[in-house]
Amino acid sequence: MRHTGRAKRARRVVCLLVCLWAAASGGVAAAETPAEEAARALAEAMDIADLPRAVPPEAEEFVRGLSPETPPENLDGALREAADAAGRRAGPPLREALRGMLAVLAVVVLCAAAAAVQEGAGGPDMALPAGALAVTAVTAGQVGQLMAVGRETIRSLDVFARALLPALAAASAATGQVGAAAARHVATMLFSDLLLTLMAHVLTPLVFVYTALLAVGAAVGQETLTRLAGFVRWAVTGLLTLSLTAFVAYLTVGGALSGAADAAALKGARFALSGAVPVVGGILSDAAETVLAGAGLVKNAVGVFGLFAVAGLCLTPFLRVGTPYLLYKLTAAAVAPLADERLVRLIDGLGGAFGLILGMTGASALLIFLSIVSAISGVGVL
Amino acid sequence: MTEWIRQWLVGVAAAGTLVSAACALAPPGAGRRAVRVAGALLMLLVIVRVPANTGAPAAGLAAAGEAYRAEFEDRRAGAKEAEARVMNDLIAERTAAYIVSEAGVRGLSLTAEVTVRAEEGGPPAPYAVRLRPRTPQAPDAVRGLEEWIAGTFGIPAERQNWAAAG
Repeated sequence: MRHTGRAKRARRVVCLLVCLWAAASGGVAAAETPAEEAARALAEAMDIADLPRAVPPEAEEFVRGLSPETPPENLDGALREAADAAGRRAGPPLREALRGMLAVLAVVVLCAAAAAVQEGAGGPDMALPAGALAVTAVTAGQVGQLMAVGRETIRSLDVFARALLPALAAASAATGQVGAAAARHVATMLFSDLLLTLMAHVLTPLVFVYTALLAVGAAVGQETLTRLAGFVRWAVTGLLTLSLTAFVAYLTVGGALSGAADAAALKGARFALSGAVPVVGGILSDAAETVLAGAGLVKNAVGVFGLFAVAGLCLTPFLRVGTPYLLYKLTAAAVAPLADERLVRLIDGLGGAFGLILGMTGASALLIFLSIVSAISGVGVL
Repeated sequence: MTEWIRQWLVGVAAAGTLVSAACALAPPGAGRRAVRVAGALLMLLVIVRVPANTGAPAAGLAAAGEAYRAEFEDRRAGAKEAEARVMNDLIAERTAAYIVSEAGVRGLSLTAEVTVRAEEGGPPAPYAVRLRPRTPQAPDAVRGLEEWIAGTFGIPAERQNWAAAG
């Protein structure tokens, strides 16, 4: 009898050890938590699986390994891959911008030499107007090309945002932020439309007007034209700043007001649940919190996916436009001792044209970024 | 409105260019002074131009806002159905687990399948239950469980469906 009892106990211990070993070595598959199950069901209902198809090809590298349906398991890994991709893409824009800069430097040096020769020979100063027009000719092509890059980036951002933002809004609403999600979605789409229209009809033509005024002002030596160019640049920057400020203000105020209403609505729903008999009330409350937690997982997954996609979309254009902007500013500083002041101001101003294109593209991206961050960081009223 | 902004800014730039060119071409002295005064008046006229009609852009913005709100409500409707489904599944699962656990305490071995329904404007709640005993059950224990289910979950006896043991 004792042998039988000891044998039974020994069998039980061996079974327990085998089970523990299997679990530790991953032999037993980890079960999905209720919140994760809820997240999966909600993501299917919101058609979030279609979101990766809306990502433009240039941003696919950034979202590899990420899913809009589940929060990232290895965010550090995704960030490292994004940084590597950024490093790989930096080369061609830098070479392209350096070619432009060298052409400008060559013009400046020739202009200085011509001016020195003319000073000795006498007669009207033709070197400076010729130099100004030559610098503008070298730069104008690049401005036109990069303006097209900026426009294409803004268009791609708009197309992706129309797929991402409704999904993000639905996910945010599922976490209890119904009013805030609606306000944020409407505000982002409206301001995005406004910015697109402003850029297409006002800002883009003004960048060319600005470049033309700078060039003519430097060539003929008319300070009025240079000041007008400064006014145009101020107007473009001011309109962009005003649009973004208005958007942030609307998000902040609208979010605060809607957040209070959402909190009140959720408290009312909790009150209705607590009116049930204790056990049922506890089950209902637990189920509601699980759904909210699942919705929070979906919202964060979509938000992080969107952030990486937008970053990937904007990286190359930012490098292509930002690099000449910095190099022209550097060139203006570098040639200051050598070149006439009008030429230096022209080169600096033409760098400003690239800055305006960068500003327009950046404003579109920032609009979407702010909306995503606002959605992710909005506290679910649990 | 964007068209007006564009026209205004381009107008100011064009007027400034014209005035600047005129000043450069004007002969020095009284002629140039006269051109400057005329130019200043022209710039003033261009700068203080007011928009002819600001009503239409506001109406356009309101219409676009309504369209985006409708788009949001469409997406939300799909998500709300999914939320309700998930919520009902969770309530059914947990209620069933609770019943099975209580049945075990009373010496009954069974499986439970709970149906959840929401009253008009109210939260979802357990509505009916289908109980399948694994072995034949003592009638007293079954009656006790039925009363407990009715008292705890509000599911009356007529909505508690007992299947044959097995």
